[in-house]
Amino acid sequence: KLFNILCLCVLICFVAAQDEVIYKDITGRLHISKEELEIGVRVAVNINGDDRVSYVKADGTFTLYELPAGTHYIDFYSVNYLIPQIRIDISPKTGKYRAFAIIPSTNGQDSYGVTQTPISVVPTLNIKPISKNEYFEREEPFDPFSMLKNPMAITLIVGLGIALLAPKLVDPEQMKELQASMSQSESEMKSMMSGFGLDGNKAVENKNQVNPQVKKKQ
Amino acid sequence: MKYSLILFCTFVCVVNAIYQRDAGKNDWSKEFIGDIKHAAFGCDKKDLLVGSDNVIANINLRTGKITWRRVFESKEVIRRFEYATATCNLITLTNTLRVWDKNGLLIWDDNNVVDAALTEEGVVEVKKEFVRVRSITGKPIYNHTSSEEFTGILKGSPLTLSTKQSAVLVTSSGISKASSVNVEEGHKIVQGELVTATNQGYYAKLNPIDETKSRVVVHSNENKIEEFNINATQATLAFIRPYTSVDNKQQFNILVKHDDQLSLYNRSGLIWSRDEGLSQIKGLTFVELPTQTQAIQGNAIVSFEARLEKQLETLISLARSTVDGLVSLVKNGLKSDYVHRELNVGRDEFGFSKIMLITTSKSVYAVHTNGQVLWKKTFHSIFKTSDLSDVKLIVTNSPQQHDEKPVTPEFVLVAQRGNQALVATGNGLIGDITNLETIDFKLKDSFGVPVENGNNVLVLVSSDNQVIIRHGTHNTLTKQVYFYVHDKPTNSLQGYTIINSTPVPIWTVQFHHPIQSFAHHATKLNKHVYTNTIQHDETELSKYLNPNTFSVALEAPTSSSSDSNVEIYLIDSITGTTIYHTLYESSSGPINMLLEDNLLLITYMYNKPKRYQLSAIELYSNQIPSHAVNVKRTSFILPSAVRTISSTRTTLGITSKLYLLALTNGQVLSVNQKTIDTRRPRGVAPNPNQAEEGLLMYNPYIPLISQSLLTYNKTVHEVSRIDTSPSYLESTCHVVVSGLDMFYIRTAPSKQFDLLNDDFSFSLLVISTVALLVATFVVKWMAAKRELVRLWK
Repeated sequence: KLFNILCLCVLICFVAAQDEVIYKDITGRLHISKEELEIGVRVAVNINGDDRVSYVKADGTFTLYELPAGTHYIDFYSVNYLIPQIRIDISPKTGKYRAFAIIPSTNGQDSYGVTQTPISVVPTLNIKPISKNEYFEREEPFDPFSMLKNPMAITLIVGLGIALLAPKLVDPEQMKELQASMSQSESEMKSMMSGFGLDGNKAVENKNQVNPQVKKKQ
Repeated sequence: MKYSLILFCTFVCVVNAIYQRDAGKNDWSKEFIGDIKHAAFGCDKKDLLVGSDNVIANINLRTGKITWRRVFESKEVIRRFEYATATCNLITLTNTLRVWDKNGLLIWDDNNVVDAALTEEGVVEVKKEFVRVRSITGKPIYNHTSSEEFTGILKGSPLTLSTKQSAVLVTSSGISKASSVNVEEGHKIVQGELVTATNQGYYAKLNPIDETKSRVVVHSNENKIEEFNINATQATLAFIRPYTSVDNKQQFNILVKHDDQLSLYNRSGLIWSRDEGLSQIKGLTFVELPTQTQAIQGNAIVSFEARLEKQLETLISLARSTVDGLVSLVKNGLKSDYVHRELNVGRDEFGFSKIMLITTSKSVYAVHTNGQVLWKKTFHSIFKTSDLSDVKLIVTNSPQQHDEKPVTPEFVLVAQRGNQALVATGNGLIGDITNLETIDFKLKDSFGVPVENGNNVLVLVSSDNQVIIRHGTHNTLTKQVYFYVHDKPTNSLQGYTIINSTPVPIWTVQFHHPIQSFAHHATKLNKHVYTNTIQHDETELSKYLNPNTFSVALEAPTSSSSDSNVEIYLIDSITGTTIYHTLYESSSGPINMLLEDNLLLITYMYNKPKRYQLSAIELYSNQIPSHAVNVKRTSFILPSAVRTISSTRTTLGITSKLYLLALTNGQVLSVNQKTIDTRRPRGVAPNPNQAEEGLLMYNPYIPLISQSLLTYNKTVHEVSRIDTSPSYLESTCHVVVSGLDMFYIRTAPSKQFDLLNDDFSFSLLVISTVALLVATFVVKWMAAKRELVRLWK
């Protein structure tokens, strides 16, 4: 009979223990600089629709009080650092918990954009920031070569080059013959034009006056 | 890691970021603390610690600016706020006891604390059946457990706690019953005066003299030491701090909180003042500034002379600015030749200057888009009473871009006091109230009906079915007015039209559950909408554009489990027919909606995986004429919960749209139109036609990319609303994010394609032009000289 009573008591205790909801205080450490802590690093966890907010303490530790059993996501808000979201699974029976860091992944094949890396919670939950937050577009460093790529610059440089180099490539005497023949053909053209009765008469006369002078000098 | 994250982003989304050098040029932010309830002078001469319900901050005593600030959850209320001058620590108690050092770092905290106090022994923590005294650094000194439940602290020293039945005395040796207790008197209000005490034996009385001034009388041990006037009256909090000035005289700082302002005075007057009213904005409207040109009437000669005069003025100012630019160029070198746009208070040619008329619970403000508060009027001073319902502001007369003569912006404030409606008409530029009308009218609601030119006609609706229309001097109501009223107790919507100044009911829609949120189209802002979308496989889709629709969201608990569904209805407000209805199973709020053109965006939480989702619903009109619509929809996963949504708006609608999501962490994420396009191909890469349109493959995640944050590295805590307004330039849009803080930015979603760069140096242009001219003449002269030499050879 005593044995039966004992069994009954054990059973009742067991049942009573099952009904207990386990709340756990989670403590962790965030490895981050003191300047960032002075700006303020907030820790938030959403429980049943309510956000519970806390700040990371001066020594880098933080505590989240009374989390019920289940899965929770802890968010960290820091201005300059990207800190991964932490997923905590608290077992309802044993009160033990395990943690995963949720990091945005680059591979589209696995879970579309997040990877869950397990983190050890013994001796403490250690969290490290992933990277620095970049809010601004990268400034292209001042590149003198970028100015060269401008099409206007290219035409100017190439044009200048041709204008300067071309005379050097050609023989000076050949150049003068060419110039003479050109001026001859020019005067021919002009006489043809005056033949049509245009006002090139005076110009033709002037040209004829200049040309004989030049020819003389030569 | 960083590099690969950026690579990931280029495949998924478009990033809209500004350059670091542009930060602060086109935006400003104001940080607030809220309704200040606690204050303490710090041990450092420049520290002032203040606290509102859920925010604590350190204010620089000399300038009034915030040094550091800590924001807690919005539901928390700070019950104890005490400062230890010996060790420079602050303790705050909400449900958690937190001890802070002077740089705002949390030293230690403890949960479930019933009451706490700072005594000579240290920090006293009282929990349910447990009391502990710790040093300020957290080291335990002693603790006791009790059989009775503690309910609070009655006195600090000797430490006396109250239990449910009696009071007990606690010492390091144990707990004993307390015989008699003298409860400390803290701040007490004595017949309209506010008496404040400090530890150093001084106390000050504030006696109001008249409507604007009070007299401060400082006592020490019953002797009057100092008296001076301050420009504050009806203070609700006051503190005094004695200090010795540079010339070894005893001076006093008086910190006073009256209305929404916290001001610091000393004998010589006001040192600084902080206005915290803008931390609780209820309504915000953008209003244009009046044009500064005036079409000159008169004959041709007069107008010609006026035009010449104006052109001469601009020529002089151009010359002056060029000279200034040259001087700065010489001084600073080539790089630093910025032309800063100084926004004058008048209208800006690009439309970058606007006024925001803001209503809070106590006052109306006009804030210019360059950040300064132009004027502020309290409702008490306007309506001469404090017994008011929510006050609504409606703009009745608004300047437009192409006005011929200056038009003064006018607004109307409507409030209800008992059985009367109060209507005050005011000038938007200076804030003067030109008219105050009291009507015997049981005001139920008021709204403005948009007529042409951005003006509104005021319509007041009473609870016994009467309507009053106030046309004002400039507007007439020519169109038929339809409106609907939400009846909360019955969860129904009733639609009316106004015929012969009486409302006639047309339709009723009854819902089975309370309505969680509404969404309406922004009125008439984007007249340019490109109606058809042509898919590149040559089928044409016609957008369903009905500016009279509004959407309603309900959270309907399911009968079986403790789950709920979200129901969305899209209703036409003229006929009352439900155009579209959809259900999200196993979802719950908070629900935010945005209705824009033919797109309905909804954010909600999907219960099972507890994640926040965004649903985009695009409506296309069916080829069969009826109310049925063709709907394309898609859903995405959000990185965090969203407090509110809005979108950027521009005058012509050409610039790409950015949808702004205010996240719970205080940042605003901008999402491109292409990211939430409903036609993104699923599971396969986009075919060439789709790629041509710019559609990327469907990815359910909307990533939180820090470069897409509109608020870049600033945060706006507890965002309650985002308002946007177009400027005259097609590329730029004004965005104001308000909540506990206020953040304003002029954003250009497609980069500023119609504006020269900020660092375009006009003086470099002038110099190069002048240099080229000079060079031309010099070279011409040189060529002539050389020709001459050649001819003389």
